[in-house]
Amino acid sequence: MSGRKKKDEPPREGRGLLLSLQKGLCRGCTHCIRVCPTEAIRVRKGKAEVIPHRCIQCGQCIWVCPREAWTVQADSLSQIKEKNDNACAVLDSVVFGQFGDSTPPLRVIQAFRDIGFSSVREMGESLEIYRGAVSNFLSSEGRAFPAISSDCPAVVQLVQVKFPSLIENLVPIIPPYEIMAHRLKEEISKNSMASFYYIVPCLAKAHAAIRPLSAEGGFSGAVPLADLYNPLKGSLHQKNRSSDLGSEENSSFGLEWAYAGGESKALGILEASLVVDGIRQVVDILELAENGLLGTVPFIEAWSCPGGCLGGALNVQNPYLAKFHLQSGIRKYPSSLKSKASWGDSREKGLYRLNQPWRPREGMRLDEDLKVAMEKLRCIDGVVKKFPGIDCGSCGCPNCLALAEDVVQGYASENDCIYMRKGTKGSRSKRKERP
Amino acid sequence: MIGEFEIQGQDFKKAGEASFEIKKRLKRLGLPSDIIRRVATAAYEAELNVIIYAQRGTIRVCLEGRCVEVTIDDFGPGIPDIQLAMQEGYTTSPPYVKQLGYGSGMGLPNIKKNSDWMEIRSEVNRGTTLRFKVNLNEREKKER
Repeated sequence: MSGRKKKDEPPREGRGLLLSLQKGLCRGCTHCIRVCPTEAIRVRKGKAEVIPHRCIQCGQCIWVCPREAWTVQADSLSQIKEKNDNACAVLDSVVFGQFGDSTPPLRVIQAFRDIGFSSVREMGESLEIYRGAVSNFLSSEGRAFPAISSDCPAVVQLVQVKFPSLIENLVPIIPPYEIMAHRLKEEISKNSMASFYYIVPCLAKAHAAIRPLSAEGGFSGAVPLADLYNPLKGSLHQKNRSSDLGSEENSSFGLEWAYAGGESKALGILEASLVVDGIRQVVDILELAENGLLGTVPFIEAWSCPGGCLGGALNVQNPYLAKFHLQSGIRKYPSSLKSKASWGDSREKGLYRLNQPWRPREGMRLDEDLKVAMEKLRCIDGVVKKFPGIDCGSCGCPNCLALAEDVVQGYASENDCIYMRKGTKGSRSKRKERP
Repeated sequence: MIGEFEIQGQDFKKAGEASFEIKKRLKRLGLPSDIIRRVATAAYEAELNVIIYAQRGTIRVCLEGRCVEVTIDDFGPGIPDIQLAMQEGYTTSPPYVKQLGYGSGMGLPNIKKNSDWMEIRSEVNRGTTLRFKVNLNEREKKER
C-alpha cells in the first residue's frame, strides 16, 4: 500500500468557501490542522489546504495562524462605494463593543455614515422578531429535547457535519440576520434601489450572509468589521464632540445578544439553559447531548467563538473588554426597541419557521457504499497500527488516524509519516542526558 | 465486524469510552443517524452494566446483513432472574454505585427500548452474554 500513487483529491478550493489562504504567507506549520474541529485541513506540499465539504466556517484556523495567512474573501469599502451610491450597512450588535465604553451607539452609527454608507440599520431590529419566534417554538409541544440554538451558523454547520443525529434538535427558526435581510428587502422594494451589507464579526456569519437558507434571506455582501475599523476609528476621533446622542433610540436588547448568555437572557430562560462557548466546548457538549447524557437540559445556547460573537475572528477588540464596553453601554443607553413593533407580531404561529429542515452533510463518511466503507474501516485499523500514534502532524494530517484514513482513501501515502521513512523508524540519535 | 472493545469492571472513569468509540465508527460508515443513536445508547447501557457488576467483559459490534448486532460478554455474577432485571427501576447495584449516579435500574429496559431484538443468556457466578440488534432499515421496525 505504501507504494500506492496518490490520487488527486476532489477539488479542495471549494467555490463555496470564503476562506482562502495567502500561500506566500503559509509555512505549513500545522497549527491550523490541529485546532480544526472537523479535521478539515491538511498540509500538502508545505501549504495548508481546506477540504470544503468538511469546513464549518468556525474560523479557528484564522485565530491560530501565527502568520495571519488565512483571509476571508469579502467586500471591501472601496468596492462597495464603486458599485453603488446607496449602500446600507447592517450592524451586528458586536460592533458597539469595539470602540470603548464612552462611545454612544449612535455615534458609531454616524461613523458608518461618515465612511460612505448612506444608511445604517441595527441587527437588534430583527432580534425581537427572532426572540418571539424562538420563544414560541420552545413552548410548543412535541419539540426535541434539548433544543439547540441555531443562531450561530458555525454551530449549525458543526451539527450537520459531525452530529447529524442532533439536526432535529436545532431550533427551526430562520436566524436573525436572515430575518433582517428579508425585512430590508421588503422595505427596499417599496422604496428606492439599494444594496445592504452585513458588517460581520466572523467567517460563519459572512458565509451565512451571502449563502442564505432561504432565497429571500441574502445580503448583497458581507464586510469584516476589522476591515472598517481604522476608517471608523478615524471618524470617531474627528467627531469627538460632546453632543448628547444617548437619549435617542438604540437597542440594548440587541447589544446583549453579542455575548454568550445574551440570547438566553433575552428569551427569559437564562437560569434554565446551558450556555456554552468556544468550539471545543461546544463539541464536548454536543457529544454529551448525542449520548443522551445531558439530563434535563431544555435549551442549549451554543457559540462557536469564545465569549460568543464578540470572540469572532473578524473583530478587533478583545472579547472580554468588548463585553465590558457593551455592558456599560447597556446601562448608559437603555433600550427603546418597542418602536419596531410595526414589523408585525412575531408570536404569530409559524412565522419565520424554517420550511425545510437542515440536511446532514456527509463530511465524515468513508464511502457511499456500506460494504466499501466497512472494508475501508478495516484497512484503516491495519494502517494506523504502523504509525507511532504521537499525532505529531509532520505528515500534514491532524493525527495518525487521519493519515491512515487519507492513505486508505488514496489521498496520502504511508511514507508521508516521517517515522515510516527508511532508516528512521525506531532509531534515535545519541543524546547527552540532562544533569 | 465493526469493532471489539475490552471493558474493565469498576473502571467508572472510562465509562462510555467503548460506546463512544462505537458511535464514532458507525458515523464513519455513514449509517443513518437514528440507527447510530440507538446503537450507541444501548451499547452505553450495556457497557455500564459490565463496569458496575462484572470483573471484565468485551463488547463486539458487527454488521450482519441488514442489522447492526452488538454482543456483550462478561465474566461476573450473572443475573439470577432475568425477568425481574428487565423491570424498570429494579436494580441490585450497591449504594456507592448509586452515589456515582449510576445503577438506577433502567439499563436493560433502555437496551430493549433502543433495539429491535434482544437476548440475554446468563449463568449465576459465571457471567452474562447480552446480544441485541438494531435494524438498518427504519421502516422494518415501524411495520412491526
